[in-house]
Amino acid sequence: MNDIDRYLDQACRQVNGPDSLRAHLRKELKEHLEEAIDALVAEGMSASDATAKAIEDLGDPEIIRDGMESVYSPGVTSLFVDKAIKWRDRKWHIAAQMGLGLIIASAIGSAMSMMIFVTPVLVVMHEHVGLDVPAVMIATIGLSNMVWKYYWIGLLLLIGGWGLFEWKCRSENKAHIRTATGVGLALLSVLAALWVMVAIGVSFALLGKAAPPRKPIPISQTPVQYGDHYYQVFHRDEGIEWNDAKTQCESLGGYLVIINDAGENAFLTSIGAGNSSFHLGASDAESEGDWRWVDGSPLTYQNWDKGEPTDGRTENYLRAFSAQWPQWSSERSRAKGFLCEWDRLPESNGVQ
Amino acid sequence: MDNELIKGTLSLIILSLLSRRAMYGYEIVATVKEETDGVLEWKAGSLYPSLHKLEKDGMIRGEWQGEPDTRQRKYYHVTKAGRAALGEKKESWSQLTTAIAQLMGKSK
Repeated sequence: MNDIDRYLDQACRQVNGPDSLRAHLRKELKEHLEEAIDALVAEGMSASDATAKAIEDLGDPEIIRDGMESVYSPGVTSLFVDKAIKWRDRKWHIAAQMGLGLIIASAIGSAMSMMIFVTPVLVVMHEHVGLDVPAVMIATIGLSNMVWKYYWIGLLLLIGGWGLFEWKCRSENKAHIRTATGVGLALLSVLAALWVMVAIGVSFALLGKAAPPRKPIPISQTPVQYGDHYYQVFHRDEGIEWNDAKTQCESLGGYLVIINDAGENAFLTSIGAGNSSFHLGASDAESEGDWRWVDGSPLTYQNWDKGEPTDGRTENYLRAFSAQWPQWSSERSRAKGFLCEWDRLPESNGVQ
Repeated sequence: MDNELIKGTLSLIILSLLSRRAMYGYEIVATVKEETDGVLEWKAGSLYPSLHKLEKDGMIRGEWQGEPDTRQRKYYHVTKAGRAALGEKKESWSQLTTAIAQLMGKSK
């Protein structure tokens, strides 16, 4: 907002009467200032100095406000009416501010509750129970992570933006913008609240359908032979990234398991592949949709679960999930362990 | 010059000028400043409430002139009632200045 607008705001705000009167007065004063500035510039003054001088010559905006008040509220009745209108405006102004604050708080609260209560439930159901959570809700997992990551930056930007708005925005526009913002946020709050309710409802409905957890199979502490290859499950309670799992298998002289047929897939069940959430040796991280085993070969045998592999840039790693196994799923990089395979019996593995 | 004194005579000044021809706000201020060699120079902000008061009382009538995409000015004209009021104000002013001059003469 420039100096002229700021001056006009100060001069015209709270002038009694309809908006059209304030708009009219504003237009007239602005016209006066522009005439004065043009004349001063023509005399050789710089534009900024001319603006300052023109404003100074027009005088204290308080004088204009007081003068207009004496014109448009001369009678006792008018005085009472005007005072009542001002009181009502002030009252509604405070109420509007409080309402806006409540709306913002409820919008943030809805987003927080979505992140704190609902999204983790969806994550658990999807990644650990293995339920087919609707894609629209899965999308909020990424949104949730992003929001958490940038939450404080976003909050600072929100506060800073609001402060800048209060400082810069012309008072005539403030009320309209506040109203529009309030209505917009109210709609968003309602949508967010509906989302939370639907998500909670879906969560409970899905939880009711969840299959009982399967009984875990004891995991061997040494490699187990199948055909002429050897296999072992490595459990990591703290979690492990797919690339780290791949490196660990290689450091032991093997590789992340490559599944060539249904028999091999069934064998892995017998050594505990379905116990938890384990990395298998395939990925499409290098080229989306082009799944390759760790030796670079394509997936000739495939045993994807329904709806898998999931499209997207985040779920790029083959996983054995307790709820989906013996079917495969594509997931993110972190799991609770991995399966290694050796072409010949390894001499020793030191990573139990 | 004392602004309070000028304020008391604003309506007389405005009606006098507008009785010559229609003028807009800035033009009124500039004309007064020019024709009085800067003696009657006041904060122009007080002009506009006076113009609105005179317009509300039916003494003058404002009319925006100029195309929407060019500079628009609100020209004020004196009405019939305004001309009558100007006559009365001139008479009162004449009596006032005479009376004050007499008083000031006696106080010398």
